[in-house]
Amino acid sequence: MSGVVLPAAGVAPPKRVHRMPPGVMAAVLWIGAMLAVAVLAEAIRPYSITALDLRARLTPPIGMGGTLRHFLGTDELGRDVLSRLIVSIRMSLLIAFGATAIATVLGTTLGFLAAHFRGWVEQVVLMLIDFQASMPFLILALAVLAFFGNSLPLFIGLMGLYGWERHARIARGLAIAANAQGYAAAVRQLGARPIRIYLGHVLPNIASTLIVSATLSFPEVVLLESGLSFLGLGVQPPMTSLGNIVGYGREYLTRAAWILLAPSAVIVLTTLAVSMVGDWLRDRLDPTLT
Amino acid sequence: MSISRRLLLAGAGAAALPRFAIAQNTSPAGDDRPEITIAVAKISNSGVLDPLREQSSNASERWLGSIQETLIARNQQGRLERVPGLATNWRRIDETTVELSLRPGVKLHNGDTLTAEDVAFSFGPERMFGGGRSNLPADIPAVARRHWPHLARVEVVDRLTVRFVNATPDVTMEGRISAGGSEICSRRAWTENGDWQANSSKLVGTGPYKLREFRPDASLTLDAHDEYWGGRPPIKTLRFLEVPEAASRINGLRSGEYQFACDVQPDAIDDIEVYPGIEVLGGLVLNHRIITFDKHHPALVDPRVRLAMAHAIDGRSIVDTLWDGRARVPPGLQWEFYGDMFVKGWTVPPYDPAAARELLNDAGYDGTPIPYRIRKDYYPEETATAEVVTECWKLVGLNTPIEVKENWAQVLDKAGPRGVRDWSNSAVFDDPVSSIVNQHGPNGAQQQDGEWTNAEMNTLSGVLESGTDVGKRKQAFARMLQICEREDPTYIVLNQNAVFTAKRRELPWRQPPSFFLDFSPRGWES
Amino acid sequence: MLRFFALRLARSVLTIVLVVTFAFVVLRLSGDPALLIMSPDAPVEAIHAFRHEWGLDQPLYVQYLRYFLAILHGDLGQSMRDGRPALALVVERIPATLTLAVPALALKLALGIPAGVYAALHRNSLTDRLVMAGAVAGFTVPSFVLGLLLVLLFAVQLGWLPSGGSDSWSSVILPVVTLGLGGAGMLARFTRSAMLEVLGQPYIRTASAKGVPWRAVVRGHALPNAAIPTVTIVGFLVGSLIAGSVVVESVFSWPGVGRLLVVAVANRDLAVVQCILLLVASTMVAANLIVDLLYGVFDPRLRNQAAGAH
Repeated sequence: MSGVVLPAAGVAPPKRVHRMPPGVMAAVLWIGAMLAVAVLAEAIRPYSITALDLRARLTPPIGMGGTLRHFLGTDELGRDVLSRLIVSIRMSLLIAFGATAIATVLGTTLGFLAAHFRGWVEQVVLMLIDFQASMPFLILALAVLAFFGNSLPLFIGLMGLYGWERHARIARGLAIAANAQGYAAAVRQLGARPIRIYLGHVLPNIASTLIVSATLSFPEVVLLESGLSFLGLGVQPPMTSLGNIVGYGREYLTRAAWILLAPSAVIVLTTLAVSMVGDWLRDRLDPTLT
Repeated sequence: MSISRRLLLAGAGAAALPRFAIAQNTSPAGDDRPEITIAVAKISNSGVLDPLREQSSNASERWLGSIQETLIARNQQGRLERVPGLATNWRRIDETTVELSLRPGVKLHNGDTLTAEDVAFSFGPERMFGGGRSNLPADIPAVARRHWPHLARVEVVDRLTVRFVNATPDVTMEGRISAGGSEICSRRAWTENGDWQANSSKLVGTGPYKLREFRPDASLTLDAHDEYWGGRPPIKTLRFLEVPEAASRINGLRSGEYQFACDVQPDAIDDIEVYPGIEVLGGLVLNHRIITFDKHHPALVDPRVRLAMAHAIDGRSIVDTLWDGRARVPPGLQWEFYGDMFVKGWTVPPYDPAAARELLNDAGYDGTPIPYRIRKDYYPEETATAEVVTECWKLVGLNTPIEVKENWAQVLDKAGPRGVRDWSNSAVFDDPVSSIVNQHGPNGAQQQDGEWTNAEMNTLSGVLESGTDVGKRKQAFARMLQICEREDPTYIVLNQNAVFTAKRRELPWRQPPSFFLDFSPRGWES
Repeated sequence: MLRFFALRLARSVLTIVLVVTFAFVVLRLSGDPALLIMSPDAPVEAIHAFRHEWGLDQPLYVQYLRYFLAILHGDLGQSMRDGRPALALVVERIPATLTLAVPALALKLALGIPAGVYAALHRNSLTDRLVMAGAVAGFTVPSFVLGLLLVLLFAVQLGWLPSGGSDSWSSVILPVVTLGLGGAGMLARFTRSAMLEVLGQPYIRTASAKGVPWRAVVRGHALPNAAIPTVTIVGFLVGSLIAGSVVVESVFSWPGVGRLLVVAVANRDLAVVQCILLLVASTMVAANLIVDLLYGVFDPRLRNQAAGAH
């Protein structure tokens, strides 16, 4: 099989009108809506997320016998599910986007470093990858909760540690492959600086797989957070998150499914949207699919 | 498609078998007693069965009494009053000595007949207090001393008579004999097994069920001890299965794999009883949920702030909603089964936000954050309760950020300011010594952890421990409640805990007023 | 080749030392086993006695050196909870864990890879969209929710399968499906993406243009190349066999290594946790080694690098 690719393939594809398919459009709109909810959370939530009304606990949502007062019903302490959902969206998006960004940048950078320098740098990166992969996340989460408490930035940083090793391995493997391909060598011979080669030529070539990896990370972070909530190590009260609600909502699955339903739907839809936009972006960035 | 269908059907056939195990009679001896599986959240917190190491009421208390018993029993079918157990009667020789007559002909699980030697051994150096030839882990004697601070010796008078001799006068000796940690083991079995380590998960006793197998953190299997002194046990095999998820316990009960499911959330009871063939039993147990203070926190030095925090909590609402009205706000840190020692008319500080605000105002509370350390649902409904309590405090102007901790060491950690934390107190026998003195007195965990101390309280603890005059002891106890709950508060009593067990309706079992799941003939109406 | 293995071995040993050290520090500094195992109500003397007995009152570095020297002598220590050898505790849980993890892995591969390849080959078709939506749904539903829903349907409503426990072979099905569906969704997306990437490569188009039958192109060129990133992911899936089912083991009360890890961590039962970590780390290291070797098999261009630099 031929490894020779014309150098021109490494640069941006020729101008072409990319009409956004309606599905992707919907996905973008959904993500936009979620971002808007996140930004405006404090302004649009009808009630405070801690305001409780024990006499009105487990009120069903509208359509299941509820009233307009609590559109999505109330939880086990009589708190408004809609308000908590809104604030949770903000929290979860913050965590998921933050952590995904950290993991992708960290992983890709380390992967490139390994691919570029080889030798001991590569060995160290590979060791870190093995370390991260071998260390059950439970223990990392424990460390952060025990030593740093409920600090949100630290929590996001911690979640950013999740999955970086996958990006790093993919980036390294693909970068090595790309280096071996003709175009990188050609550009290198033209005297381009390494950073330019990686950012300008290698990255676009391997971006598609990385984007998929990142769009996978996004739901994984949300899920990981709910898994940690399940084990008691996730976002702690009075803070709330989608994963957290799903985590405790499981106990009400047969009695008050609405506690868990709305956040689950938001998780699935947002992930779907992120994946669709990811796929679309991937196609646009993929120089071979022109 | 057809393949997966067949697979499912095959699975259905195989899965159906264990569901009818209860009705089957596979024993050649014609044993038609049922086999029962009980789903519990935790079998043993410490990973061993020895009652001097494993002391968690919500785990081991469920099964311990089925294997080993105490000389003086507690009436699990009544109000936990003292009743004859392995001893048929007992009398005071003097202020420091109790003599007990053992029940004749009690068979141990290894076939031996119980004698005074077994009793003396159970309270001897090799089993309990260490020293001499024993190589007990050092924590065991320390725990034993907590149960028996001044026990001098247990004397064998004759084959069926023993004397407990204390070094100091102690009116609670009979209570201590009936409490957890005073179970009787087999001398021969213990010696044959070897050291404590070898015995820690191989209990041999006199109870209605004998140990077959213990798989730590997974299951505990017991077989009927047919020579049980209290009659032939009604169950052939008892299997306690560790099922950490509450929903999984109920699902298994509904699908017929379990016959009992423990630790049912109180507010789920109505929904569970909708299912055909399932009922939920249970009620109050001798355990109070409390919140304790570290009075060294700058905002808590003034006792008025602590009292204000007590007045601010709407305990009634917590009980009515989270507990679905099935628990109660008790009359302070005491229980009616104290009998003469129960202080009638005493109450916790009433819910009164106005009074709380006034007290805070008088004390000059300035909004300093008072950290509230909790664990994630270590106690039933703990997180939800903490969120309600925090909201109550917020309404009177208190600032109490919740800090969720992962374990006890973190809850008690002195680094970072300690404010208030969650706890629970049990009454292990029918005297305040077993609760307020043991938990909040000079040797109690709260003072040992440096959270609180009070000179008068400590003097009164001595009166309660070694005093013999009922009137003076009761007076001392009443004064203690006054100090610990009003004048210099050390804790807030939130609610008395309750425990609920869901079971198949057709099984004629009664829930005792305790964590204990009594499967002796006494607890089974056949 | 010898250099490759020597380097690889040295790195693996270092990784494991790093894991053990990190876990030691975290576990010992974030909770006191004495308080956790004996309950906080235990008398202070009992807690001191326990600490002394297990050497927990020594300075941390002394404890660490002691622990480390013992490992070098092949002694993995005892559980502080019941005094049993940690290794024995862990080993007796492994069969239960593998009983879930291996079929789950098979399910992930059997569902995920064909679905991904199929979707890629029928790009933008309705099937593609449906498969991908299914995949996304598969990995976005938390395993504890999926597990509970499956139990409600198949155990409680239909009564076909047990809701938990490990008594009969049929109790394996629901946890395996729960574990498998999520992984399959993730794998399907990866495979699809890798396939698409390869299908767009000029050499595929060249081969196709040369008149090589499409089926042969896919089999001979596209699949092996798409395998590279996919194998990376599979490597991780294999590596996480041991500790990857913590949540599912809890929901199905399955007595595997995952639950042992949770209990041991909660009690800061160091020897047991370390034992599990050693197991996880060696599985992961071995899986990665195999992945690297497979890279060479699937991509001749990488063969030299794989052999030379890893």
